Amino acid sequence: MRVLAFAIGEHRLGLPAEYVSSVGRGEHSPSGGSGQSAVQEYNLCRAFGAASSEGLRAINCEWNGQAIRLLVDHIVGLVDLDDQTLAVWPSMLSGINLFYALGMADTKMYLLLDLSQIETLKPRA
Amino acid sequence: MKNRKAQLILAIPDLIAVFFGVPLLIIFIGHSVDLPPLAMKVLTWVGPLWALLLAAELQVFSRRRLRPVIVHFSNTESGQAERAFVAALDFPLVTSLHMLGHFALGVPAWGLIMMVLGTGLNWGHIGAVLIPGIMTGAVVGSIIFLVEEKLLHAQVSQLSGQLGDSGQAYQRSRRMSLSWRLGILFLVTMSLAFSFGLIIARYPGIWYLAGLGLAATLTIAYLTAQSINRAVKLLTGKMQGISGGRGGLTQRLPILGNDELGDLCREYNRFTQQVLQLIREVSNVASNLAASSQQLAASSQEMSASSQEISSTVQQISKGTAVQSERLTQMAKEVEKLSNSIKLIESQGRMTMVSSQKAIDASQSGAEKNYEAVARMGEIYQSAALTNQKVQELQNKSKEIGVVVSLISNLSQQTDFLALNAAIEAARAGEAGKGFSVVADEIRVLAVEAGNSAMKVASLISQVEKEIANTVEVIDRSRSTIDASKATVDQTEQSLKVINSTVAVAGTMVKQIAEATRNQSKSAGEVVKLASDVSTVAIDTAASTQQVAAAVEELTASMEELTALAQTLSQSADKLNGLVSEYE
Repeated sequence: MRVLAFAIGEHRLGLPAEYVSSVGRGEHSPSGGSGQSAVQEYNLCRAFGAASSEGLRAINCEWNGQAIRLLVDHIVGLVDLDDQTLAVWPSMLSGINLFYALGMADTKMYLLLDLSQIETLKPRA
Repeated sequence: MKNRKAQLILAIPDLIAVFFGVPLLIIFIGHSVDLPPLAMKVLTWVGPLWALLLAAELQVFSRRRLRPVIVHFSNTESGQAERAFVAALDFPLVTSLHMLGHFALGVPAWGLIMMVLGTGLNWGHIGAVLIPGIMTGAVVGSIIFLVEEKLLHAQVSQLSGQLGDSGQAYQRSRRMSLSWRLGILFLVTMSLAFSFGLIIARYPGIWYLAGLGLAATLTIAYLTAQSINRAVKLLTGKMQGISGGRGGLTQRLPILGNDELGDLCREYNRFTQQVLQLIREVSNVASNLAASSQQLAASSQEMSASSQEISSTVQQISKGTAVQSERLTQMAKEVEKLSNSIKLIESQGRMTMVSSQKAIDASQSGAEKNYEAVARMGEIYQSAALTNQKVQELQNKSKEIGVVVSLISNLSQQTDFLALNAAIEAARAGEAGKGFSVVADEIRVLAVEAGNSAMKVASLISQVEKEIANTVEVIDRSRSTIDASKATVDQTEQSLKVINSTVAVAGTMVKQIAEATRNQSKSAGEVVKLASDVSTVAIDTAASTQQVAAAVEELTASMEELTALAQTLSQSADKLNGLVSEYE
């Protein structure tokens, strides 16, 4: 499974590549002035309480026809997760609905982001 | 003088003449001369009238003669004391002589008148009445003289006291000496006795006449004796006052008459005046002597005290001189030590002079080296400025490189994003995009490497800039240090100049000090010799001072004896003054 790996502080997260439209700098929205519907922007660094030392990076993606813009700390790149190592979200962590699975690549574990729960985060004003 | 007494004095002659002389004359003539009966009647009845006329005449002259005395005592400021004194002295004698004249001339004159009137008198009768007239006048005049003298005694005594030395007034008065007074007394009494004896022998029945003559004789004798006795008593009393002390010499004997007793009183007054003057002079001399003795005693005491002070002072001087001699000896030793020290200083001064010359040379050499250091410091300063300029240029170039590296880093990041997006697109394209995905990955890897390299370059450039900044800071600090060093070197140069000049001056002064030390050494030797000489003189002075002290002690003893003598003399003068004052 190919995911776009990105980092927020020490944490490594992943988002399935089929949802990702593009990546870029976090300072301006790519949808501004394109005539499309308004983009919901979420600052994951702020949501996870991590401070970014450099400029934020933006991940443009789509979910159920809704353009979503995620501001992250660092974009690692496209990573192929081993399907055999892919594991569902442990039941003991059922209270945390933002992620849906865990995956391994190159001895590094990635938390896969569940875009259906992204709305639980407060969008950026 | 009271008016009543003056009237009495004026009345006495006439009273005696009228109430004693005229009856006596009538009885005398009546029993001694055989007058005709008519003449006897006329004499008896008209004679008193003639006597009253003569009495009036006497009264007029007596008042004129006594007037100065009356005026003087009624007005003490009249200034007629001398004239009153002469009048009082003359009044008894003149009045008695006047009265004698009345009887001696008035009786014959009355006889001539009766002879002219044809009373039967002839020249024989007139000659016969002459003797009774004279005899009666002598008796009456003597009595008047003695009575008036007694009455005027107090006034004459007072006037004599007021006049003091009444020499001229006394000379101008009429003299009635004791010889004459006693002679007249004897003559009158003898004449009376002789006359009455003849009359009684001729007419035995008129013995009462003898009693009358005897009474007159006794009266005259008594008054005469009293007159003399009064003056003698007065003189005796005055002499007793003088001999009893208490200012007897200041008392004057009154001159009661121009006779031997008056001469005696007058000469006594002169004598006491001279003695009093002498005693006053002696008193003055004694007072002066007492004052001088007291002054002498005081001066002697002061001199004695001064001599004692001098003696103690001389003793102190003697002690001080001994101490001085000892100190001078010590001083000579100390001066000798000082001389040796000065010699040592002189040798050290020479060494100092050599060292000073070396210091001058070193100072000059230091100044030259400093000049070279200043020049080198200038070159370093210029090199540092040039280095600073070059480093700043390097810093600017580094900054330009930084900009380029930043651009490269940005480009690599953009490339990374492009490659990533391409990979995403390739991934979304599925199998068709696999090859493109590989290329995109490779591009992305290159972009990442380029970005990493750019980051490294940027890091290196940042380090270089930091080093350049440090270098600039070091250079700036070096420039500051160089500036400070330059200032220090400049100050050092100035200090060296000052030191150079100071050392030069110090060298000159050291030379002068060396010269002065040589002179001091020479002078110190002379001072040693002088101190030795002064010490010898001080010893001699101490010996002389002791001799002076002994002499002053002898002088002090003499002054004490003189003080005692002066005190004795002062006491004697006081005693003499006291004795003399008893006669003043």
